[in-house]
Amino acid sequence: MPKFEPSLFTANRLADGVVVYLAKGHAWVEDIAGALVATTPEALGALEAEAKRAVAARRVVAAYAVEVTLDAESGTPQVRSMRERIRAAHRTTLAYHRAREAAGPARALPASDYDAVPAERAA
Amino acid sequence: MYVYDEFDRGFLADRTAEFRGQVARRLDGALSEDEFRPLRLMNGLYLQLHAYMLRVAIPYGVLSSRQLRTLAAIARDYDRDFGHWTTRQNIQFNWIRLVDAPDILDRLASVDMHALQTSGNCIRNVTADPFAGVAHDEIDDPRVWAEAIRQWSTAHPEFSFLPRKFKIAISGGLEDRAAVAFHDIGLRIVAGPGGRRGFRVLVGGGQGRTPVIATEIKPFLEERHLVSYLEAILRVYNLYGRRDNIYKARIKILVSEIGIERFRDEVEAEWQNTLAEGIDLPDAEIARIRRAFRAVALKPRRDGEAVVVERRLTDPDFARWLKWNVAPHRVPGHAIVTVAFKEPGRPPGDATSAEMETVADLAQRYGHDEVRVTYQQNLVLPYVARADLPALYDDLREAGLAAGNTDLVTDIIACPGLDYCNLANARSIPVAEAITARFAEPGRAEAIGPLRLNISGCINACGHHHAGHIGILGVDKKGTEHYQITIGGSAAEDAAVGTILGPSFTAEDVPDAVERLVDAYLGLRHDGESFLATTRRVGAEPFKEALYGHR
Repeated sequence: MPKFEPSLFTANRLADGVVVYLAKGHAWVEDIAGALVATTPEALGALEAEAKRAVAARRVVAAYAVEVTLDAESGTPQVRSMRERIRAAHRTTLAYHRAREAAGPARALPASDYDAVPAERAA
Repeated sequence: MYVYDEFDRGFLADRTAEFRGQVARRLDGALSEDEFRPLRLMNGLYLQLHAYMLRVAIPYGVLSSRQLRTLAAIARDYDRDFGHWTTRQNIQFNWIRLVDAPDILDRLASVDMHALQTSGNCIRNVTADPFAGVAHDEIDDPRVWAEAIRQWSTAHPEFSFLPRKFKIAISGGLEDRAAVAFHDIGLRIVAGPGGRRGFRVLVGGGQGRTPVIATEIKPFLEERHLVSYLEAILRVYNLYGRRDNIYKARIKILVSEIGIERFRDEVEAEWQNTLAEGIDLPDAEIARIRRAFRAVALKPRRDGEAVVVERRLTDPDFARWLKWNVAPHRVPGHAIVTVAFKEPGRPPGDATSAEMETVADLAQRYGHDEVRVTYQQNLVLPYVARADLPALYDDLREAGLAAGNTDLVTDIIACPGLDYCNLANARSIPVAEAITARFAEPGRAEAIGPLRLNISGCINACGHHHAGHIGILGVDKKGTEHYQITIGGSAAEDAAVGTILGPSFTAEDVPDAVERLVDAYLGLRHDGESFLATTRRVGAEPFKEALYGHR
């Protein structure tokens, strides 16, 4: 049997489409640091049931589980794929452009730059 | 410009009211997401990576400054202050709230705009030559026919649920500026026997995972029979096109499976029916549409050359902009100006609300109030007096929109890629930015000469990578972004699909790889030979060697 990977639930908020994560107290939060992380299949099942209720209650759409790595020191969840890192960063290319202007001439960005630039929040 | 009549406005008002009701029913639970999804897609509203994305139709790429200002206002009031010119002459807003969408559609309708048929398996917004009506090599104005197709195809009951989406492009000049060979139907306006005008009709072109250059189905179709012939093609496709496999559902697959001869026979037979049904537009209606596109009354002018020449001799940046961004106009003393949204280092096609308003102002001041959107993700001012070019250039430079790089290596076409798109495997925009940074020195890009570099973040090819002289395709290789490189593609009259050179590169290595291809070209080219011409003369081998060495 494959090893169980720590996982969380993500979705888009129905009313505005913004990326959210299932958190404590039935909340859906924009900051992935606040997400509930399941470390057992049973806990993931509970998150899934909660996500289905939120979909039925029209709070979110397109909910799915994402495997994460837990930071060794802080225990905060880190998503692995570039797609999920981009979602978690809530980033716009315009901010990207402005960050570039502030940083000087453009250059090839290593993938890690998605972590280096602070996430832009919805106004 | 074509102006909506009461019928058009009433229809739009009904549709936006209908969508307002659908959104309300989604929010109150009467509609599930499965029920709502096709309804929102029929109104151009996608759910993307970060949020809802609204794709607004810009019919054949033509905008008034009032319409452009409305797009700017939507960006400012409802989005994050910018939009993105698409590779089909439309605009996308990336951060739209579902609850705001009905109000946005009302704002659009107030200036005769909408988001209908920008998604779904229907006839999509028709694209056309952005130089329509002003090009020096034009046989007839393609906007007349694009508008006729818009009216015929809007909410067409028979073609609202086709096997797959359907894209038509139309070009009216000797030069193909609308990439017609990469469309489901491509129309070239041609002069026929006895001075009559008509269309050379191509069918079954497209990009995506199966790139195909369209095949000629009819060398000359009289213009008055355009609608009946299109209807016949669509009926044959609707009947025989596959619905069991999304990857084999486009018309290009049908044409290649049954062969162009049989497909043509089927269309000709069906055409007898559509002719008998009398669905072609009456001459009076064509004349009415044509009047809407009556050319702006421009008088030939001779007063502009002295100021242009003087500035050109004293200002190399202006001279470069004049050379690459200013095209000849059919009326002497006037010019067609490309406003480049491609300053090296910026995301290709992204436009802030302030930039949109600047262009709207400049269109009013210098350009008879009209703007065009190009599939290369730039804007065009089609009516500028040459005497005004220095002043226009100064205003554009102040706004950061005066890059003189149209069709050069830094004028990159890029899809939104993994920064926004749910389908993408890899990012496009940062790769484009990194390449343009590498070639940012304007003299260098100019010395390289015309070089169309196109980037797509996945095989769906919204960034037209197959048609790039250099094409870059983002792929997912064991969870990391990699990029495959092609050369030799073209979207013009000499349309071709690029050839894959070899194994893919990481994002960090792409600028070096492009530079090696460019250096190889510079070493191989004959005097005055473009990158594309050199690749055709010498083949792919020298470029493979430049990328991978001897293998």
